[in-house]
Amino acid sequence: MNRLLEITHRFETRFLSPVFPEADFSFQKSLERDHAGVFPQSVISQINEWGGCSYYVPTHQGGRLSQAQDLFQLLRLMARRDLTVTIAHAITLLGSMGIWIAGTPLQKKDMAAAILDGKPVALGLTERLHGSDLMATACLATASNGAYLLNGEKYLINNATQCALMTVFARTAALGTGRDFSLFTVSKAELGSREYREHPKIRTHGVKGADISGIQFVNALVSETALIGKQGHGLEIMLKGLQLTRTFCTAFSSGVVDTALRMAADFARHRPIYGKTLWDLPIIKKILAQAATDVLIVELVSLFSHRAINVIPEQMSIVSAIAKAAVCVRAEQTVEDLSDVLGARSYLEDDGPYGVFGKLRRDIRIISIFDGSTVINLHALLQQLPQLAKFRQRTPSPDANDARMSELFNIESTSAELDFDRFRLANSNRDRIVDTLSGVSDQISRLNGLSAMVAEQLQTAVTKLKTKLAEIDSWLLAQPLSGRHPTKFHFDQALQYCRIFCAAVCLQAFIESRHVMHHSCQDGFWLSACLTRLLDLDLENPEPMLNVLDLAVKEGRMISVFSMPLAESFQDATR
Amino acid sequence: MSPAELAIHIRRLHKTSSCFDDTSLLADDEAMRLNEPAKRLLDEAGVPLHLIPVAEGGQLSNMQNLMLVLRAVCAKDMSFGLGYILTTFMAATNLWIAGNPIQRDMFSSLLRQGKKIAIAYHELAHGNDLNANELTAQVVQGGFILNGRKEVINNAALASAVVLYARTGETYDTASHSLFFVWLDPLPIGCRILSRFRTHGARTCHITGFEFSNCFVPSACLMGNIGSGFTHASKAFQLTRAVLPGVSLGVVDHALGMTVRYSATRKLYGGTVLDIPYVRAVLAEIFLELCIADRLTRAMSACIHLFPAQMSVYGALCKYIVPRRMMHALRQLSTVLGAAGYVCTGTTGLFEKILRDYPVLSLGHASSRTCEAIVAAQLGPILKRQPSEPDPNVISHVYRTFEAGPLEPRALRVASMQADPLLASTKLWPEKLRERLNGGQLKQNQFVLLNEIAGNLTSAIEDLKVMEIGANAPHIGHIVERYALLHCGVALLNAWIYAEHEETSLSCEIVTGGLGMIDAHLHRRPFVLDLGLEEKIISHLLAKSMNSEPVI
Repeated sequence: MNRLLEITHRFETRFLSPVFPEADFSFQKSLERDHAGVFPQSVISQINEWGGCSYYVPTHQGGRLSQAQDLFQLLRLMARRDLTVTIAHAITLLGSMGIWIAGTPLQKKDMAAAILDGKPVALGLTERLHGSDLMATACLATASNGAYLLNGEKYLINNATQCALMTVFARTAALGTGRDFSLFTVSKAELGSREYREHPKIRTHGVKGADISGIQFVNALVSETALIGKQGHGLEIMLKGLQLTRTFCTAFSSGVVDTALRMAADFARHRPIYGKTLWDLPIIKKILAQAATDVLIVELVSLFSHRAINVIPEQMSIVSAIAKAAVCVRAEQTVEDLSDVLGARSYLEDDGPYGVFGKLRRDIRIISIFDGSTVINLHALLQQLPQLAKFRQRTPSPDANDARMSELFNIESTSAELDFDRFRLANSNRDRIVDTLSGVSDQISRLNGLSAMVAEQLQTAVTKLKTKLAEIDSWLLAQPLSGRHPTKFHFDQALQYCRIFCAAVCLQAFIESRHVMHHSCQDGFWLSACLTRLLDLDLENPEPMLNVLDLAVKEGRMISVFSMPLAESFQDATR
Repeated sequence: MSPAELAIHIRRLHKTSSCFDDTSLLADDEAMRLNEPAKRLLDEAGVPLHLIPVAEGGQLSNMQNLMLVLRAVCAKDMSFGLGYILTTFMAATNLWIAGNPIQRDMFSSLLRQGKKIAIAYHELAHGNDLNANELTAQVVQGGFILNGRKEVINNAALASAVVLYARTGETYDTASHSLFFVWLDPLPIGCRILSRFRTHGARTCHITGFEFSNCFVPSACLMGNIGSGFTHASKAFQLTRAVLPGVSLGVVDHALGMTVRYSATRKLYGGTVLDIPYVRAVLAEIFLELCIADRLTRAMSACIHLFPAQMSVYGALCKYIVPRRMMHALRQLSTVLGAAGYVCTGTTGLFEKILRDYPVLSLGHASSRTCEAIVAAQLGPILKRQPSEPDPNVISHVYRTFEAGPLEPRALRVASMQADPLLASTKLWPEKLRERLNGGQLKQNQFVLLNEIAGNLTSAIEDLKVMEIGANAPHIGHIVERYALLHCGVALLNAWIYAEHEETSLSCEIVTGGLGMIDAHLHRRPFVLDLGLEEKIISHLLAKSMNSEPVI
């Protein structure tokens, strides 16, 4: 927890309140850059000067990356201000992941030096004709005299023209198996000008200043030392890397949705209507309370999925898929719902305090598209759900005190350093997080100082969740995936599972980290609201969530169960 | 040209005229400029005449026909449609309700010249709270002095006249404002146009505003009586709320067609995107949503003529449910398109523009949420009232292609006073379904299924009637949703029962599928479409979209 607060304080002190129009990393400037479609180089340089890149390099390589939760906080602090800047900067993290997973000591050393020197790294994964179908990759790397010749195009690549280095996913065989692909680190400086052509920036719906472009390799000579890991291991390395990068995407969503809700709440508080303020209208209360609940769900699932990278890395194949599928769409929907609060102002892009809302709306849509769309993540999850269901059916009451779950969900515990060797392509046979539901009733009954009403609400919700889980488990075991493609109903069931996962996270977060939560969250009403929402029911009473929201906004803190003061709290924000 | 012929003509223009090309529309959006060539083509085709009632020498026969013409105009580009004609339509509703013969004559004359008319209700400081609006019209000798601002007004700088909502009383109540029809060509002294607003979508719309400083306008500008502004506005909104959602279906239809074409040609995972079961299910469901929305909006536009006293709740219901379902459909389409729905180029480049433009529908004359509140406020009393016996003859006119008219503005009411006549029509279902069985239009198994569905809907309506429906109850949103979904079900089944002989009628299978979907929404459970029906829908979608024809 202290680490997160320390990062927050340093970052926010450096970059000031985003409400100040003069600051480079402000809403106003981000909107101006967006309208002009300008790459945010000056802000990126400032983040580098501040030391942002060091969080992308493991500590044993001279950087600061040891706890993934630090990245959660940093990425969302950036994203709350400007998602364009965030993806333009953090692409280096995504681009370098393969090296940390499978690189040689020398490759890691070189990559660390490049990143710490502020050199941007991109990830050349997708292709124009194949999109997310990695098995159809056509970009070819043919072995030639102890080196490789790279031929083919990568398209819709973040930072393709801005980057100095690119991790390229290329075909090294055509046997029709998962061993047909390899990963290479390509340095543009080492290529001749005829060996590659850049495709200019493609105009996009949102993140308009980002460099979403492409690159074409033409007999580009790449040395053997550029191969990451073994030849033919590219897909495996990539899939492991995606387990991390998908999780990082949820931090983007957490940041953007925090800003959207902060703006909507601020507007509602100050907007006179019908002789009161907008905040007083029942329908607005309902929207804001639901949004606040969603923001907490997004935060907690994202945060603890990041912590899982350290604590249960072998489970990340399902954790990352669930987190991305569950969080990114929920955050997107929340922003859409909040446009109803802002009304006409959600549509106007001026230099007023809410002018950037339209940018948030456009930008946030990209998160559920890249690094594996929602459908892809649900598909990946569906492959593994039957095994997890079998475990639960065989072991209805697994370990009552799973020490690793306590470590995961106690935000004050510092976990072992991130170990890139511990990621697995497939989960072990159980989902430890969802499995906590079997013992959570007892845990709730042992909580001190919980009102009888909240305790009862939580227990009722837990019963419903367990019933739903059992139904999903039975259905999935009775309806195995036949052929290559699941039905829409399979996807609906997978989504339901994701909601149950989110509920388990919220419950364990309260049980293990309650002692450091903000005082407005000690009573557990927020948890009851989250579970209600995840069960797709209406909130009976919006006031507890409105209270949590109101305090966070007034006190200039992140809208969170924890107390995370932002720059808005230690400077006067102009209105 | 008749409305039907005009709609066909416009769709032909969309396919053949370069000014309606995707590239051209996207370029206009990027440059934030009006599509003048398109305007000329549509003016030549006589589109503006469809805002002038037949009795006044125009082509406007009834609201349903108008809705279908406007739907065609907006089908590729709602932003263009808004700037070209929808704003003028919104102004027109005020003239129909409150304009005197001279004002209506001036309005018609402007339309015939291809001029635009703006509508200025909105003040940024007050939004939907019309009674708080501050722009004032002070009575003086021979007229009024205007002072104040209206903001976020489409076409303010381009219009030849404006319908203006101004304060003529000091109180905060429904008698404090009046409506004015103000000539802008030339701009009156003391009137200036505000600078242009940049917007998230509808970028080709020229959105500015007015500032009046001691601006004199003659008495002849007053529409209706002093203090009658709110009453007129309430009635005018009933018309726009009932019609605009149906207008918006054209662009959703177009987005669906675009996605089908993309899916059929994009290769992924050893086949095409359209081979993926999830994609087929999503596209088929969106088709059903469109069918349902189409039947509901046709019915609501017919009700303007047949049940005008009910339009306060019917209009709000329409504007509540249709934009919600259509936004959901557009988001589902974007999951199918993936990255192709995020770039501004290529065969799907128009999609992200459609996604940005569509929400503008909810900005004019009340969002879905505001409409939810309007329905909520009236729902309790409406459901408690005992309905009169449904007249099958009248009911059949609601659901058939509407041929009667004209609009009778005096029959509109500020609030709905009667029991819900359309929900009451469900009483006729057992008899009507049996008639269809006996007449051979239904097989026995279809009859059994439809009878069961009809029974479920009727029970759900009865359940609604006994619920505690207070406007501020915590579950009121859920109840309004149920009410709207029930209306969707009634519209779909009644459309089949009463209009099955028409060219545009739906098959029994599609109606059964659509009702199944509504039932799943009502019970908040996932919907599983019958695979045989899904197959037929996909074939239909392919056939239509490959010819760039509308799917509904």
